[in-house]
Amino acid sequence: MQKSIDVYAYLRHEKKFPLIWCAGCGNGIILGSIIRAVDGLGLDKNLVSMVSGIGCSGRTSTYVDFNTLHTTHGRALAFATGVKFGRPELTTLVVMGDGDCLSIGGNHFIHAARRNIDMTAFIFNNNIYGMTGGQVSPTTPEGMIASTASYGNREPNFDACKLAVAAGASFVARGTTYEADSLDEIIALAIQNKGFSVVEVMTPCPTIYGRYNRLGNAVKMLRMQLEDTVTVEEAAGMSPEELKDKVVTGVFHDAPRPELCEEYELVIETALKK
Amino acid sequence: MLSKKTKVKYTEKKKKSKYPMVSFQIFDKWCKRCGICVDLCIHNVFMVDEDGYPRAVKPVECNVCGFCITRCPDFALRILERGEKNAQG
Repeated sequence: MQKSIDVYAYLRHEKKFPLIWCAGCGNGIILGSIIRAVDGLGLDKNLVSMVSGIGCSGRTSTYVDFNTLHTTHGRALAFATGVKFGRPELTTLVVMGDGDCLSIGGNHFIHAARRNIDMTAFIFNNNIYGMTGGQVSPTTPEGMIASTASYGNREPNFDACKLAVAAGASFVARGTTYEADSLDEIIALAIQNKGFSVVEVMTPCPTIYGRYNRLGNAVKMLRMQLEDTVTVEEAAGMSPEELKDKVVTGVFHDAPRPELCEEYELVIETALKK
Repeated sequence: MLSKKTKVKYTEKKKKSKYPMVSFQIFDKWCKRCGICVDLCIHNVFMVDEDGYPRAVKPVECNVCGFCITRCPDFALRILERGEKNAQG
């Protein structure tokens, strides 16, 4: 084990604990990974800002001792763009759920990726709208049951990583909560990237998604992530039929390109010369 | 100087030391009894007590891989190395 770090130094554990999430929810594991990555990079917690939207994942910003902002549904990236433009020295982390990011805030997501502004967007993908009672979200796989699809969902689901690559994000990766150690490394790489980075994390929702689809308890759902996922290197040698029910994890895209805040510095310079 | 035989005995004895290298601190107020730490530990360090909370019954077996603390969703588990003081939960 690497040197154990004091995660409690980054948490508001005296005021806000215990966490509001259900027993076995993976959101807490992701929060731990983010904290370990920030600690591993040696960032000052007063120079980190965390912006979150609405939903289960929206509570994340409440528990950490960074500069935090809990914003409106789907608009976390819009608020974060303002934070980054106002204070470019801050490391901006944006925490969103799958519905928050891809349906309500889908427009903000593709435009933040297009602008390539320096921030890290985390998508907590639990395949369902957990907080509002289990409605179908854009990432619910085909055939799965939700409260608004009692006979099975017939809509194809979004691949958030492919969407982000197509929209122009400069770093795109996917991780799972079971492999929390490699998730730390992925998050550290994403924060270091100068530009818009997207990290999609598959997280179990045993209370809503697990119960509707009879997937078992929290431990079983966590172990299932190991069986259902393949790495990018393994997926390269597999046929599309084999990959049909698998989730591919790893770093998909890492191609730095000009970042928006730096480009604006050039605009300010040329305007001042006149 | 130790002979080979005694050397082997000495290392064996050291491995099976009855004094654990670490101790565990479990915050019952934060724990939601999901059972992740109990199930994922490959050395079966934890057992569930009658209320469903995890208890470290075999801390000697722990090799401090950190699997349980990174997967605890509620930050309710802490590994304390020797000499480290208990933190307030």
